[in-house]
Amino acid sequence: MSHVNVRCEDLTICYRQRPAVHHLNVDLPCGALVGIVGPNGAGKSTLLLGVLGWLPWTSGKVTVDGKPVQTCAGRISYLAQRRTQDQDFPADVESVVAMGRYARRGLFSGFTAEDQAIIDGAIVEMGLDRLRRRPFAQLSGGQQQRVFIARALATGADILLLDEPLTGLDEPSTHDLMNRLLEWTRRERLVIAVIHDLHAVQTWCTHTLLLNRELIAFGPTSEVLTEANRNRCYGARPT
Amino acid sequence: MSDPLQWLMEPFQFQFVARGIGMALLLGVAGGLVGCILLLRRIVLMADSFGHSLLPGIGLAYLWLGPGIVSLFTGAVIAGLFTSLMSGVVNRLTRLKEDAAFGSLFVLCFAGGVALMSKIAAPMDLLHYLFGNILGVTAADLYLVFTTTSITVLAVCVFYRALALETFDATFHRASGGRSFLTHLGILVAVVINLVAALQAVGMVLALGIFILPAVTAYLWCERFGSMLLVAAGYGGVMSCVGLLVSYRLNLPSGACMVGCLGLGYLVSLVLSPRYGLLGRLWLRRQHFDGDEGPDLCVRDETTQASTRP
Repeated sequence: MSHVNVRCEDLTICYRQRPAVHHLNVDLPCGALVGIVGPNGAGKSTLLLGVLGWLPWTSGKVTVDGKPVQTCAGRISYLAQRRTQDQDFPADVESVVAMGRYARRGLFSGFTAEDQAIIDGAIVEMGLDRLRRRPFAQLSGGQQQRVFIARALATGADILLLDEPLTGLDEPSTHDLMNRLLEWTRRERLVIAVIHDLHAVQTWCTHTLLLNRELIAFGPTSEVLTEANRNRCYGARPT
Repeated sequence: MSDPLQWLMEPFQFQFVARGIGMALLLGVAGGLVGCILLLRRIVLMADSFGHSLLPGIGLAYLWLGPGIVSLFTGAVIAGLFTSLMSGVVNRLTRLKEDAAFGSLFVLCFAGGVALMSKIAAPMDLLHYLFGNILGVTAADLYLVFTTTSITVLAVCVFYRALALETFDATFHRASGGRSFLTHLGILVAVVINLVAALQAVGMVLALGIFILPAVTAYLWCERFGSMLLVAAGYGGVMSCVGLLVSYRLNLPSGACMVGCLGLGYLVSLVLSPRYGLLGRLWLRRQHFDGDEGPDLCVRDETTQASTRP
């Protein structure tokens, strides 16, 4: 790992006027696929929203390569849980992926050859080349999830925040998606994903962040997902 | 009826019909565009409640500013914005969700409006407000609708990308630096001004038809957001005019005929749309049970990588 990508220092995040994540100190290195794991109500999704700056902090800061996260909007892409998107929206796969370039091009500018190359690259990277003209509504859940991640790649971001990306996916789709994410992180990028399935975390995530309102443990998955740490995390249910 | 062209053009020699046709065309185009966004944002019924909440604004504007079309329009727009703002505040500060806040507020506003209307000697009676009369519109009404439609078309063209993102995935819109809240507010403003514009023509009860029927018809045929907007605007404009001509020829209420004609295409689409209509779905289901290949609704994943663990 070459350098720290995302650093949370003494980060306390509030949700509905109450601190939901307390005094978090963690360095998330680039090239890692980080699984955020913890019981319900542990503050996993809150942490993602806090890193984005969408929820208020009462203490601490978040930096990306030393710069405040608020100044790094183009470097981070966020994919919310699947129920927030309209699954029946009239668009084909390529149009959805192209939405990732809208922020770069503003209201009027047409796509350049470079934009098209980035869109094509994201489509190929997520294995959607043969589906690029398919209506989005006709895809399976796993395919739709890959389209969303391709759209996130098309933004040009090098940090992906994913909130429960495996929800509703069967095992082959999970394997496929995680394989592609792992491949993507190998190019000095960072994926931070909230995942409930401990087995998937163990299999695919290079790093694990165990959270129960405060940091229980963080590090390489094999070192973090120990029996003792799991008991500390899941044994004491959040009040 | 010897010459069909003459038969078709004859109503246009009357100025009130020509104005009505112009009004129907403009309302149909703007209604189709706004309707698509309402449909995809799933706030169609919220738009309906907007219509009810405009009444007290119209009444108060009449009392304070006089009977001019601009003052009534201003009053209605302020009432609509007030309702949306208040329901947003109630939603944020209490347990109620936005639809419940809207629902409660609009009946209150409507009740207040009805009481207010009964106390002032307004030239526009309640039935006119409820059912409209497109053949009675003045040149000023037509200018107003021309303005609102121009604003709507221009806004959809300029903010097309923001609208696509906001209707499809508002969270991603916000995450990629978009002004999600402002876009939502812009949509509400577009709904309010177009509703007010449509009140004169078709009335509060049927105004929603001009919004929703072109949108649902286009939704049954189109696979892309841009084409859905174009089809809805075109279909809304043309069928509204057809409805008005039918109303003239058969001497039926204009609003009902316009909405009826728009609904006709919707019913036909509901049955015949090849992919999303009833017949299309039945055919696909039959293909499925016969074990035939057919164009599968849920695409099989030929692109999934082999399941290799790291």
